[in-house]
Amino acid sequence: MRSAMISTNGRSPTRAHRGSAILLALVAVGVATLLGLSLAATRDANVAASRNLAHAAAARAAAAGAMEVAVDILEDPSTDLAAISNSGGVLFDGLAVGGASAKARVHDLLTGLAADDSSEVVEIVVEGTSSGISQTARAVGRLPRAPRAPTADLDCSEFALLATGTLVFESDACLAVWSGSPLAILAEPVAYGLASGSTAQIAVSPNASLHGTVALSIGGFATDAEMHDEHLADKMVRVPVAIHVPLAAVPTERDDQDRDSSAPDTLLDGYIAYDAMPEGDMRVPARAAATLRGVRDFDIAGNLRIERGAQLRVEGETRFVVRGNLVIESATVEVAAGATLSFIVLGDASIDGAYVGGERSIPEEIRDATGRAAYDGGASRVLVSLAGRGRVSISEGSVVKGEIYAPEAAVAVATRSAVYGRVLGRDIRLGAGCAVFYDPALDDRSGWTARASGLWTPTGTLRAEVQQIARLDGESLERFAVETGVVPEVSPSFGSLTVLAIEEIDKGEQDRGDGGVAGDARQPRERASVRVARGILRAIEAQRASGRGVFSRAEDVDNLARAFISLGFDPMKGAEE
Amino acid sequence: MNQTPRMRDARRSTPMTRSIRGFTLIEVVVAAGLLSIVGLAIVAFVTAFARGAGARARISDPALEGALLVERLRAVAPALRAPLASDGETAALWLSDSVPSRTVHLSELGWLRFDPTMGDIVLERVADVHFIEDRGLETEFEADDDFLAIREDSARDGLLVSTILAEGLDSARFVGDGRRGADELALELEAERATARVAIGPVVPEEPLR
Repeated sequence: MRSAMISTNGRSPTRAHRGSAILLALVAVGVATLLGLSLAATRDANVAASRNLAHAAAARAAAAGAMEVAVDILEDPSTDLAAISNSGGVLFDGLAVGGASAKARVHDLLTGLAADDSSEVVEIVVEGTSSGISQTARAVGRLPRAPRAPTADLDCSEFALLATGTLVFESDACLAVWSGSPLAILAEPVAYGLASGSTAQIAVSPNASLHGTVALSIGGFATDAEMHDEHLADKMVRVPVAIHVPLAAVPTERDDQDRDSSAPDTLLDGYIAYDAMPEGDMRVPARAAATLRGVRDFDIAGNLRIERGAQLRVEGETRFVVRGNLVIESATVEVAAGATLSFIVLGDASIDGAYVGGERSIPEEIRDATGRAAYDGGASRVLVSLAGRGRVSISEGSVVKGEIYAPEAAVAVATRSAVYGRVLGRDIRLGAGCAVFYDPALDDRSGWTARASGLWTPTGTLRAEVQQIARLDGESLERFAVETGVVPEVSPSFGSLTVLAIEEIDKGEQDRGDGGVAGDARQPRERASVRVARGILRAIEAQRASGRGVFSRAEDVDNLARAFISLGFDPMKGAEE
Repeated sequence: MNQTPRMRDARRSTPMTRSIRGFTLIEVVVAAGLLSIVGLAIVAFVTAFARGAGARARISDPALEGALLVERLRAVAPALRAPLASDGETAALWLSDSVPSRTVHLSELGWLRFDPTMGDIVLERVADVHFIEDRGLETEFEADDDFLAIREDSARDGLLVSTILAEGLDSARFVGDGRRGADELALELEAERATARVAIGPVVPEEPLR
């Protein structure tokens, strides 16, 4: 009976638990096996580290070797940079170096795009790869000039501070490179001084910060790297003769027919897509927002006042001729990418608590006078030019990202203000706590300190035609080009300034019925540019015909500027942990 | 004693008799198989653990650490110009001429130092943020200034930041004083009773001109 009962339940309790024991044992065995196998699979870290080091060394050697090849290629004047641009900046790919391979790319440092024949400063990026481990080497430098017409920088933009009278650095004043500039990585010294080359009229407070700067002095060029280093250690940059500073261009007289007598005073507010020649003042009212579109010309008989809290945005090529005073007070003037803004002032210029410069990519920057402001197109978007013996005052924490060109005026930077760009004036005073941060992009190595520039003859003497440039106007530049065969170069924001004198000539052509439209600034400017270019071409052709080697200067490249600077290696990629 | 065959059969068939009988051959084979698998797993575990420990010991090989130190120093200071001074415990380096002058500035200085408590070699330098906060902090030095004392001053003022270049070392010592005309500056490393020596500095040192 009992036996029957058990059998009806299926199994006894003892027999039922025997299966679970086996399962538990199997699970334990499985876990132990997995654990053991996973640990057994752990690689010997020593072998991995050694492998990484070996391949990293091979990749590094490949990158370093290929970098030398890349530098040699770029230093060869016959290298076709346009072809490199067409290949997306790839100089070579798959170059075998030992057991590794290397690829080199070349970027324009200013644009970030593939280098082309207009590039002056480039970054070389070489990637060496060995068994999946890659090392990337970087170097930057100025390209040697291709064999083309020599150029001459006539606006002295290679100097951060250049005075024709006196130069004063007060306590805690600072002169340094603009660290946000793409070319700051070149670590080139910042030049300042008096046009005469004298240091007698330079007053420097003991607490002023001038690290990494060199003062202009008269003397022979450095002939080799050793002498160049000696000059640098002496904090000097030498040129053989005193600097000739052309005066600022003077706008032509206002034409009575063009005067807008109906608007003695003009307000700028909202979107502005027209030119104006007010008889009186022009104002951007307090807290107004004005946007200037297209190529705009404003010729103001009185003052231009951008009032407190106003916002002026420039979206095209804009020129203000201010025959009175320029006053910007606690306002914002921003210049969009691709646009330029020129103030040509005959009176005084006063910028108090304002921001004037490229459109800020970081709005929180507000007015950063520490030297760490974002680049935002650099200093070449804005020009403040004073044609007379007036005064430029930048004060109350103002920040100007641009160029101040006032050879006859006194320039004062005061009360914690900063200029990102450069300042040229008669008497320059950098006040306590103020700063000038130089934009190295303004220096294209064709100026006074570059032995190979078009300012100098092959024998190292100054071209006589340079001294004959009285003003930075189109007429003078054209004459210089025709007489020398040298291409005159000025900063982009000077573009509208240089055509001022030519407009008068063009006006005569318009009167003869060549289709010009009064009031449209674009056409005279285009014709003026063509005129200057035509003059340069005529000069070059004439020199070619006479057998004079206008291109001979190209062979005399500036050897001291040819060295590329290694930036070292990026962190290794592809190594096993 | 006089049991009949019927009685013997009855005793043999009781449950007590069945419970003390031996294992079958299949049970023994299965048990042996399981035990061998577990044993192999334990052996593999112990072996792997031992190999891992050995590998961890060998990664502290001072030669490897020295090579890694040189790699990391190159990455941190690609434009290293020259060693400036050393006292065995600390070495001052001219990391670059980023303030173009061919002279030494505070922002261009770095100090290599062995930290005996952590077993690390660190590169110390003045943090960039301090130069932003105080323009007057930047200082130019003469080539024969006491660069090791400058580190002490900077450390006392709380200006230094550190980057670890090597670790897991028992000791380290700089050999050579790094000054002009002296033998090259080297670093002797010791770990796990092994020693190694690496040269510190570029192949072609560029010393300050002033």
